[in-house]
Amino acid sequence: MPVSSRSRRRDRRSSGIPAVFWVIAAIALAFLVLPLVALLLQVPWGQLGQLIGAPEIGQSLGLSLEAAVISTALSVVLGVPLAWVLARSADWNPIIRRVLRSLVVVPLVLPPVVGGVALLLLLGRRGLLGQYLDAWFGVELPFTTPAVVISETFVAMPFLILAVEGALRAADRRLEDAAETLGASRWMILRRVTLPLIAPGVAAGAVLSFARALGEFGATITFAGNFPGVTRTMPIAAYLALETNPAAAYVISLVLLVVSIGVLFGLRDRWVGGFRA
Amino acid sequence: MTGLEASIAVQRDDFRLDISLAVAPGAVTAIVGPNGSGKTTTLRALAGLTRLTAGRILLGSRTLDDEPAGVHVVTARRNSGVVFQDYLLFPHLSALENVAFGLIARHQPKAVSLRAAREWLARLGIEDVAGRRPAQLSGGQAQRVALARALALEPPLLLLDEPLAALDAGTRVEVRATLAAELGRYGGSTVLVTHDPSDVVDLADEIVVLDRGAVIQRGSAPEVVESPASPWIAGLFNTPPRRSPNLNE
Repeated sequence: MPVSSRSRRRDRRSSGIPAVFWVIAAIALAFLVLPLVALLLQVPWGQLGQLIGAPEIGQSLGLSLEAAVISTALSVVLGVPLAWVLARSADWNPIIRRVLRSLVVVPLVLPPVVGGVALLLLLGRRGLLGQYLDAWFGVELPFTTPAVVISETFVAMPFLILAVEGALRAADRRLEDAAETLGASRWMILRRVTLPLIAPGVAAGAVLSFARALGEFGATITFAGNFPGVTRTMPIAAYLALETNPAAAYVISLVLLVVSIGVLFGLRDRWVGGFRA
Repeated sequence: MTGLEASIAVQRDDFRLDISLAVAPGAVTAIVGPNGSGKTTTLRALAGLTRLTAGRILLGSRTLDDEPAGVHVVTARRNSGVVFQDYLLFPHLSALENVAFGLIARHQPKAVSLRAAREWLARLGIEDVAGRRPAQLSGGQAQRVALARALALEPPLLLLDEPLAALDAGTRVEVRATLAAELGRYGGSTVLVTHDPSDVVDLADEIVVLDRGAVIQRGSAPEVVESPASPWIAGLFNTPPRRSPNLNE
């Protein structure tokens, strides 16, 4: 008996967690989980199919998926080259490099509404560029579906850039040397060596961007507004429905929650495990 | 003479490398020297990965570098086989695809490349690991894949950077025998960087001793072992001190 009690005490000490932390940790976990439990309890499971099929929800679901997919694609197409430049700028002036990296991550910390205001000031009818788009091409971006895509890309692309840049930094550049000694052209090295090496990072970044784009609210409602079927994405629809049709709001929230958990599941090794590319 | 003729000068900050090499086809020159003496820089210069500050690299009838004249053949067009110290196999490709990579890069049809790659693996006795990724290979297998990848292009110049250093002692002896056999069959010029005296004795025809970027001795293995030019090189070959007080112990 004394032996076992001593060994148990040693076990407890080896975990190094003060008793009070267990309590606080439990409260913290409850704080994160209980709201979602409350949501799940309120979802009108019986009318789920009917509500998802309802025109206003179906419409915002379709619009959201479409806009998030396009903005993810845009983030990949635009973000991978930028991540490349950032990752391979080691011999640049360190000040320029730091400024560049800070600019890239600004949308991560910027309140999305500010992003929306900024986009309006750039691309709005009287905006810095928007006035010319209007005058020369008759293009008005604000309050259109493309504006939704632009808002979502603005907030989502930094996730992709950071993930890809991390993957590029982790990839051994000497593998490119090795490929070169084997006679590979730059293009072949890119296609057959570097891109496959960073593919997991690109995929992780794309999934994170998609999740961020799908949940985008502030920048979208500011720059793109709230027109059913045109700019009313799921988060906006959920917010509005909360006053008029709470059950619908719960269902939309459930859909967004399921997508988020799906994303988390897809990234389980990369993100939950400490986000190593 | 044909083969490799190089006089290499690379200036970097306060380090200057100055080395000349002449390696006949079929011959092996070993470069030895303490860390930081410029061995790897020499190989990188020969591979075209580091530009010369001055000098020339001639290989057979080709001029690969001629710095006063501004000639520099890029690495991809030099056709020099390189075995890197930690092999640098492509982790996302199978052993077979690693060996076929250079052939495919040179626009050989894929089927032809894979067949040739398989023959190389068979020749090195590792055909059974063709489908494995580098992470699933033992050190000795990975080394052979790296050698096959470098030789598959039948390059006129083979550069080996500490090719056996990453192996444990037992495997090293075995792989060294394979390497010696392959080098015996190989018709091009080989430059070997090593710090292992056994590599030098078993594989090299000529030794070039580098110290702080300069050649301090060159000659056959027996010559260098007989009269080492520096304490470092004496220590490398464990040359017994002339008058050992306790010889009988």
